[in-house]
Amino acid sequence: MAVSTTVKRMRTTLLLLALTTALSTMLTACGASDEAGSSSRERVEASTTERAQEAIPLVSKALGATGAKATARWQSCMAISWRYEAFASLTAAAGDTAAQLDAVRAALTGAGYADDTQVDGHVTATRNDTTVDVQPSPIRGKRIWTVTVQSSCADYDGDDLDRVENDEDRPLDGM
Amino acid sequence: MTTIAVPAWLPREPEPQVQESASAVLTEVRAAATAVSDVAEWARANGAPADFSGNAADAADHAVTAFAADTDAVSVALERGALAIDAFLTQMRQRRNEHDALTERRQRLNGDREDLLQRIETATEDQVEALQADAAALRQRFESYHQDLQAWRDRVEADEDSAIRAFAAVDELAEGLAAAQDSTRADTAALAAELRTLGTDTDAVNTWWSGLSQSQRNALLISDPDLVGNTNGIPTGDRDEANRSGVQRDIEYLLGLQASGEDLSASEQRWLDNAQSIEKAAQQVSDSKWEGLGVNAFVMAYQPHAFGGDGIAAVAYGDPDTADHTAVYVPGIMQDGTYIDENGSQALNLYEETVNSMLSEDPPREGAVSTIAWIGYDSPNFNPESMWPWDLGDSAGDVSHTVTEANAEAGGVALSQFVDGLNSTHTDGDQPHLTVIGHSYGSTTSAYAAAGGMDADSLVLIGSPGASEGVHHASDLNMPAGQVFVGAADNDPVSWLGGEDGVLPGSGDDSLGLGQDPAQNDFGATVFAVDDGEEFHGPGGLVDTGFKQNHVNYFDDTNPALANMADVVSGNAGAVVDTGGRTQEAHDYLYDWTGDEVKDHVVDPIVETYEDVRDGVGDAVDGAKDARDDLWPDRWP
Repeated sequence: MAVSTTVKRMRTTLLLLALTTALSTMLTACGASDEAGSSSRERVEASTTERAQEAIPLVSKALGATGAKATARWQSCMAISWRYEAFASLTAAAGDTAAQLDAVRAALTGAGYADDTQVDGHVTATRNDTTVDVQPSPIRGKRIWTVTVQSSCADYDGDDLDRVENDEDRPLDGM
Repeated sequence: MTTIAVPAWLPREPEPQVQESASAVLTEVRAAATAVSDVAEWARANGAPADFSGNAADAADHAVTAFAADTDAVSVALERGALAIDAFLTQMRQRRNEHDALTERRQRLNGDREDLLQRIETATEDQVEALQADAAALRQRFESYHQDLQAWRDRVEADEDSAIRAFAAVDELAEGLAAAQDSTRADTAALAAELRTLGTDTDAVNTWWSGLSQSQRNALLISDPDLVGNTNGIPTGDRDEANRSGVQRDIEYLLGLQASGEDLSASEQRWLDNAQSIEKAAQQVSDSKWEGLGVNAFVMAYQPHAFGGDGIAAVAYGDPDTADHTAVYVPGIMQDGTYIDENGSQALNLYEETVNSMLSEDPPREGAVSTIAWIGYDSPNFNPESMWPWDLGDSAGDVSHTVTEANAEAGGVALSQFVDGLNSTHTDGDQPHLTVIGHSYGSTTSAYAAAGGMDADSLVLIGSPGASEGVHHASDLNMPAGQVFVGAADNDPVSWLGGEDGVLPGSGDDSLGLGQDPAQNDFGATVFAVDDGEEFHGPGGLVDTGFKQNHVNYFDDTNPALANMADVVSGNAGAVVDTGGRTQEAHDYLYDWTGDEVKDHVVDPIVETYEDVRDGVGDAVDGAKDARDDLWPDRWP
């Protein structure tokens, strides 16, 4: 009985220590997100846009695409955090899908992206904090492919939060 | 010279001018009718105030009564207008379908005509007789086409005349007043009372609704949009129309207040946030990212004042009443009606992945899909915009519900009733295949619903903090065999909370946990592959990476979780590979991580400090390391 009580107390102490650590971590993290500030938001917008301006033409060329439509906007990560996202849909040349995926992968890795594909029928490539995902999307039409270029999910506050929450589609610069 | 009479080439017939987008007019008229109906009802109920008496009061009472009658006349005029527009739009939908059929027929006839001309061009004399016969047959088909085309034009004209007559019948006050007294006018108060008595019997609701006349339904849509729009068992299209009217009514009212220079109160602002979020959720199918899907949105629930202003909201992408595969996504902690648009994005991602998955099969699989984001329960949430201590207190009180299951339990009942409604309104008599997907606290809510007998075919629990109290095994969730699926990222800290003993065992309340971790190997679910997310360390890592990235990425295109969920939703569960699940207790993930944090951020810095300051005092360093090892054994003590 005494052993059991001691073990329970020990376990509870450890848990409380864990939760205290987690709480202090959260508070520190909140402070960190405060530091995100407008410069952080703008930096994320700029770097994601730059990656998109680089990746979308690479994918387009690899697919022999004839038409591309690209927009960008802030998107929510389940309403808990936010990320900047550029999105494009392309009309690819006719071809074998597997070979086209290989061509896209080669184009992106050749440009310095790391292959991080985990889903069949997609190509996912990363570079620093930006992820590029490419996939055919037959629901959108024959030979239509989509390219999504995203930053990591992060928190913003103040004017930045207002901006990311109420952002709207805009054409991707330079596309 | 032989003459063969070939009919003239058929020109393109213009489409009806009324397009699908014209249904927005109906929503606007209904919203206006609802607003006027509310005013009329208020005026009928409020003559002179109770403490206001005498001749002046009588005069006021008389004036208000007259005003009520006039307002009611306007209301009935708008009601009939809405009915006429609704009927006209339905007719035009039919006419457009007929037009499409006529167009195909015309193209086929023109093609046959070209073919005949070519054959005539190269014909020899002995073929003339056969060609004459073919030309006669073609002329006959052309004539038949002309007759059908004229009949179609006549129907379009008759539809237009009918709508115009309906409008004209109530375009003057006297006509409106007469219409208001019409004995055949629907008694909406009685109808609403009847509907309320049916309660949660969704089959009875559906049967009752189907038995109403179109004018009765239209009148109820105007008088009681909130009731119609939020009653399970009423067809999705009608719920959508009612809710859209309610949303528009609210937005116009609240923006009108703002425009008149009034500052909205906190609750009014929250109300507006709810309304604008569901409006956005419905409209985002037209955003550049989603317009290529060609999917329609349906507002299935809108109650902006529920749960102290957190709100209830649900939006469907694709009509669940005609879908072959329907999914209900139940979000978790921090979600409320003001975030239905963001949650709608997850549902749209799932929609696209599911349809693409079906179309990518060999041969491509046909089938209609509907995915629904449902926030119909009081998810624990924290208002990050709280500015005052008492607001923070409320928020903290609300979010503290995360460690109890009360909201999940109540939410499970609401979810089960919503699913009942979907089964009742499906045109085939029952949903052919319905999947419920719960994320985070929503997974606990979904598990409660399932354990209580929810009538779904498949259940998916992702990022789960626990499968609810009393559920020890997948078989306790009452799903068909093999139809419980689980996704849990190793680096999702919320998925570390599940466990039979609760998070704080021995503390005097062993029920603080949210139930068994469903990702455990011995739980008996199919545990599918997910992106395990990045490991995180140090200050900020738990929240910024663990919670704000790893916990929220299950619906990302890059995450195998989405493809697996799509296979479940489309009924292709055989393609979902079981990874076997966890063999380590969920709590141990938390335990190991916390131990590492203690080592990295408490013990090691102390050691480093000792080494810097008291270089050579090896005993003290070893003592500190030993102390940590003693304090933090390999496993839970």
